[in-house]
Amino acid sequence: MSRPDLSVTLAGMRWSNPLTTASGTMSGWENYGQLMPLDTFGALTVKSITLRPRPGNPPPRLSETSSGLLNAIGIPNPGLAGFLAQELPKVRSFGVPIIVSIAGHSLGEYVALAERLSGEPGVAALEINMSCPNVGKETMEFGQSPRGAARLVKTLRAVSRLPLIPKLTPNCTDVTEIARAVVAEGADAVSLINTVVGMSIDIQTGLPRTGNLTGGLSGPAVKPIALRMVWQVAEAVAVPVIGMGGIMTADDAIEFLMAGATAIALGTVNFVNPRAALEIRDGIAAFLAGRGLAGVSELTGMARRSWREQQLLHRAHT
Amino acid sequence: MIALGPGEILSNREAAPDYWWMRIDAPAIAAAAKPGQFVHVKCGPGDNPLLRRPMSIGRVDRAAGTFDILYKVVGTGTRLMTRMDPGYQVDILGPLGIGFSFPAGFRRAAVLGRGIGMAPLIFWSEEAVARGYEIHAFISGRTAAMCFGAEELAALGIRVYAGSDDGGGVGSDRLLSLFPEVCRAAGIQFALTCGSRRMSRLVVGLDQEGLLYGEISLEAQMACAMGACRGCTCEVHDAAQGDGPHYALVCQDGPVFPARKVVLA
Repeated sequence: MSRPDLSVTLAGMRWSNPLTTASGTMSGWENYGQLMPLDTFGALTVKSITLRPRPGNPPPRLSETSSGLLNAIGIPNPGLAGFLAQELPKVRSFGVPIIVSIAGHSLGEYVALAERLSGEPGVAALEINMSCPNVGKETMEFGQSPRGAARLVKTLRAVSRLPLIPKLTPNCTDVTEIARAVVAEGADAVSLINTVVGMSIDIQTGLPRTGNLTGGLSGPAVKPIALRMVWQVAEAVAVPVIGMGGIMTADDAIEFLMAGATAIALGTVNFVNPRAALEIRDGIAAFLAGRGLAGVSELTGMARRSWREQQLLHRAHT
Repeated sequence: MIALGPGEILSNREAAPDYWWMRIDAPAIAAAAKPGQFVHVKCGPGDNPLLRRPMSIGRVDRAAGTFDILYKVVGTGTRLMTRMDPGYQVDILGPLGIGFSFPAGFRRAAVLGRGIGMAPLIFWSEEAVARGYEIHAFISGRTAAMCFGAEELAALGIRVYAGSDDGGGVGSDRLLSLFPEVCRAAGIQFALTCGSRRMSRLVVGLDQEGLLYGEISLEAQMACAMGACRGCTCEVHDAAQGDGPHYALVCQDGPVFPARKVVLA
């Protein structure tokens, strides 16, 4: 029997496997590249860029929690010009589709980023960061309401020919409403979840542990929340879903695929195991081979189908 | 050159209350390590504690392919490390970061350290002696037993001054006032420090004065330790970049920084 097909197609891109990086978890690249070829990932999603350079938040930016990590990084980045000059040529050289995450303080900033990047060779899609919890209210406003999110995507749809992938926040009342709103305005896919707002206090100093008061929680602690949201969003929209939130192993990744994700992203796990992508990609392939499945796309939504069947059976017997 | 993989623990012993020396067999790291660099250690097999812990590399035995870590038990990760027995395969990533210099134009150096900060200074001193540096060492700690490296460095012919908080040696306060006196008297050209904010301030002061060139090893909470997460920042002077604040990454731009670059809180 031939090897299982790990390739996935979404938002106008073809990835050799369903793995990408979670935005903001693999800046730099060089050190990771020494341990594992970066084209182990099916696509690379780069750290969010803003129009102008940002220094990021003052330290402390990190606080470990139980099975998790609170971060208050604050989107430090070289700005659009710095990204085009330094970062993009570097990531283009890895030979996989590049998804550029964009973040802005105003509609105008998002538009400027989208317009410039749309003309740029080597950019395969735009991930719209409208949900980072660490940069003040502006960025969050778009992502937390269906109307704000719809307005943002509608505006970008008009100026960009690139596939648009809004990144959804868990810090909202109903993520499916936001998902439906952005898809109605032309989003080609959605990615979720961004980090969950949380905090931690050092009782010796009596102060919050992160310099920005709160931080975004990631890691295994958020996985049940992320998985539930991926399931709900996959049920609510017809576009592909990129799922992430606490994926540490191939088993975790398969849960997200079965919940309805077409692809998954690895974030915090890269800090613990720089070779996680290799092990997870191979683990998914082994699972498919063990089940006699031809391709990874057969996993997408499998648990939802099984659940529906089971529900029907229960009803038939009552 | 960075390696990721298991290293066998050869010994793991408490040298003073809550301070432990661990020796690890890891030839790839031992061959590549430079004084001032660090390794990132996975303390347990599961997801809790989640993150690795950064540990400065202490003395290295290149021939044997081993290196030492000096760590203090401060939380769950380091407590787990104390339970690692000889034979245990610990998952380590390294060597990481930018280490101390060996400036070509200088001959007379001073190392100033406290507690676990002595580990990279011991490593540097051993290599510096082999390169012909004349070294004065200033070591402090809460007790005499916590003045790590005093014997090892004295055995290399290094002039050692030690002072502990409980009054041992010259006492830790006197040690700090002795440092600038000796630097002036002995014509120290290059000073390295690790492990104490007060010591860092002293070195920055003497560097700003123009008396010597200083380097400081900083520490920070780290997640990736490889420049990916942008979490381990310290504030630095960077006039070329315009108005501040400016941040550098301790894991990748450091942990060793020129004294004049560092903004001390």
